[in-house]
Amino acid sequence: MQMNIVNSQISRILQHVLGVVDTRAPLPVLSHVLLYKRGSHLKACATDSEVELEAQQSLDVTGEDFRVLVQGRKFYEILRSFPEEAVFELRQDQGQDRIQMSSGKSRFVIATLPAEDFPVMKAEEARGTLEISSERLLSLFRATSYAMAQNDSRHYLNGMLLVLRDGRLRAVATDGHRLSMDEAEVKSTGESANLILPRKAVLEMEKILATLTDTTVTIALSENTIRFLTRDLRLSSRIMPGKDYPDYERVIPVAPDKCFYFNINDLRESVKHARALVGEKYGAVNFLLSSSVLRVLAKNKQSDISEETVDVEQQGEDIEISFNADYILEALSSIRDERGVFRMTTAAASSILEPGTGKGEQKSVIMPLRI
Amino acid sequence: MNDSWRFRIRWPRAVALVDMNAFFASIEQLDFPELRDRPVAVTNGALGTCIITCSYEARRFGVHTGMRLREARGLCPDLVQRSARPQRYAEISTRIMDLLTTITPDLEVFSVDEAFLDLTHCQELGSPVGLARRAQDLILHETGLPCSVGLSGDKTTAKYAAKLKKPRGFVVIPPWEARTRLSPVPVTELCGIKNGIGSFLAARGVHTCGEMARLPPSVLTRRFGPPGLRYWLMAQGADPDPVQPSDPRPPRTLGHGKVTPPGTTERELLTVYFLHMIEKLAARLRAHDLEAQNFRFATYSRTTTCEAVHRLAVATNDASVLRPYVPRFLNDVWTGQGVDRIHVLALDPRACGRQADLWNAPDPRRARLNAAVDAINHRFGPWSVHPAALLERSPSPDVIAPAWRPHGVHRSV
Repeated sequence: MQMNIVNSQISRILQHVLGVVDTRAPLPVLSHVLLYKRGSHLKACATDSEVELEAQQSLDVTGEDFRVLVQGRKFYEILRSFPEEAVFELRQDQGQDRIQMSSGKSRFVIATLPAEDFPVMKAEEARGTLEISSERLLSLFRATSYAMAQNDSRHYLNGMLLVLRDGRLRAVATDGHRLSMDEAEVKSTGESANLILPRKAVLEMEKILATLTDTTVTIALSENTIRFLTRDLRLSSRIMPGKDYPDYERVIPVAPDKCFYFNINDLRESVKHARALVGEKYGAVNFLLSSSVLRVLAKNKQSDISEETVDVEQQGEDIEISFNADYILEALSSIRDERGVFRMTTAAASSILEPGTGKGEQKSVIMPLRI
Repeated sequence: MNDSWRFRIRWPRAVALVDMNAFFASIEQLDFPELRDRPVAVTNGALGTCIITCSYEARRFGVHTGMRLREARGLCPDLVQRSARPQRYAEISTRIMDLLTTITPDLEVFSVDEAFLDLTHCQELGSPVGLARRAQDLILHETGLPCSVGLSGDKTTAKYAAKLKKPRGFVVIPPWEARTRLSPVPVTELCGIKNGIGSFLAARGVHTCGEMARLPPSVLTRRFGPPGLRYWLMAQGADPDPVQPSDPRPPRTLGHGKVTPPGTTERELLTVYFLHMIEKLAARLRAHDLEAQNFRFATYSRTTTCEAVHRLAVATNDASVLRPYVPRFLNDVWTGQGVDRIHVLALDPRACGRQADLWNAPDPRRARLNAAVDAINHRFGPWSVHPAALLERSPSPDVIAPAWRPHGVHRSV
């Protein structure tokens, strides 16, 4: 095999897939990237055995098809040390376990693994497909992914629940202390679905979606896998059955009787100031709501204190309630509106943060800190 | 000796180390007058064979800490063996530390029988020599127990001074003499510089404290990081380490361990040992209003360590939540090899339950039950009420860990 390629073209697809590569993978093959040419496309594919990501680049060169398995990070670092416009000649002789790469006066001989060792995820027959714009899918993920658990012993919380019903896709995430929920309209074929998407797949999809504009994403649902397809990218992931997920609707307060409407930016700035004083993870911020003024109070271990007032529009009785400042900041950042509404019942029960306008499709439920 | 000049000059820093003499043995002689002036050896329980400390009367026969009882009896046939009473030692130690805080609040408890006193800021009330002498007299007068005192301008020199004369020693090395006095002393005589650092220094021609000054400090910092500079200064009588009163923050870990019969392979026996330690650990977490989410279980033998960290869904200080992890650890992690010691550790304990959980509301009945058990055990003594599974627990007594402190989470035996 022999081909010439511009650095920027091969670097771009490698950069996309390297996020999936686990640098501490127990199997050497999982730290490798499958590079292959089929027809007029060069493709790169990486997997951690749970999530598989493939990116492609169309080429204007012809030549024989090939498949080669290279150490992904090392290969990418070499390419990155050259200018974007550098042209590389890739060559692998029949039966050789090394690939030669040269550009200008530089020449590299790099070890490869047999391409057939790459654990390609089995393609399952799709039970249904749905289509959604990349921007809406990204906003759906961004509105919820922050509440996913990380390394929780309840493995099903380390992911996002996706529920497809009546042409709407709902995303739910929780780490046990807070819960986020959002939903979007989709064009779907096939039956309803209820599945848990692993944390890594969600975060990789967010990265991918952030690079796309004006693109339609097709989602193919199968028995054990899900595939996200765009023109040049394919992310396949194993899924867990949604029935393992806790009954999230149970923890959404039904009739909170106290609430205040506020400017998202104002409240975020106040909580940020309080967070700076507390300075630690799990730091507490106290909300004192009275006479349409919200006092944001914080105190650290050295007994330094901060106080800031925010003008709000109060409905219902006064209340004093305490939250983890980071949880509030993350929830505020996820809201797609300039105004928000905070609904509460008691200082010991969960509260809801929602956009100030809208149909109530986006929600953040946060458990308070005991005062 | 005319010490008047020492009383007149204000010391730039004044640090005293109070070191109790043969602490456990002295308490035995204090509580049991018939043991006074007799050679006494303290062992861990009546069946203990290793001497954990002995009286000065026994030391005159060549008996020392760490010696086997049988060997000691060969040297001193009249040796009296006493079982350690850690609760009593802890009680006396707490009293001593409380007494010392009447001299200065800047007190660092270094171990159960040692404390550093920073006298720098008390010099309006008296000279460092007078204050240190007052500390020594106060302890003897109030408890009847002897101690040695070392006084200097830094912790390392004070510690070195205290061990120069025992028992009832009182050695003063003024800060301006520290460098000269330490100069001929081997570096490994200093507290904290043992064979590892000693051999590193010896390879570079540094055997005594005086020779340390010839070595550029960067040689030490490159090898040991920031503590390297401290070693360099320590040898010159200028240890910068401050006297640190106890840290009010929650500890990074909190644990309990116990020595098992050597080479134990009996699963049921190991289970009881683990349950015993879990019960102690949970009660201690509750006593200090702490809880933890990650717990490390470990078995040790001379050659192997089996360990696993179990991450719980929510933080706890309830032993009943931890119990199911014992069979899981013994089945999945323990290799079946003979065990000499077990250990249970709470990692990163934090203040109790402020963050409420959406799914796992704590059972208020369990909290009430634990509070009742803790109250009964506090009033009527440890283990007055305990789970039936612990009826067969080890009768070997508790020991005082080096990390013991008179107040806070480390007040535990």
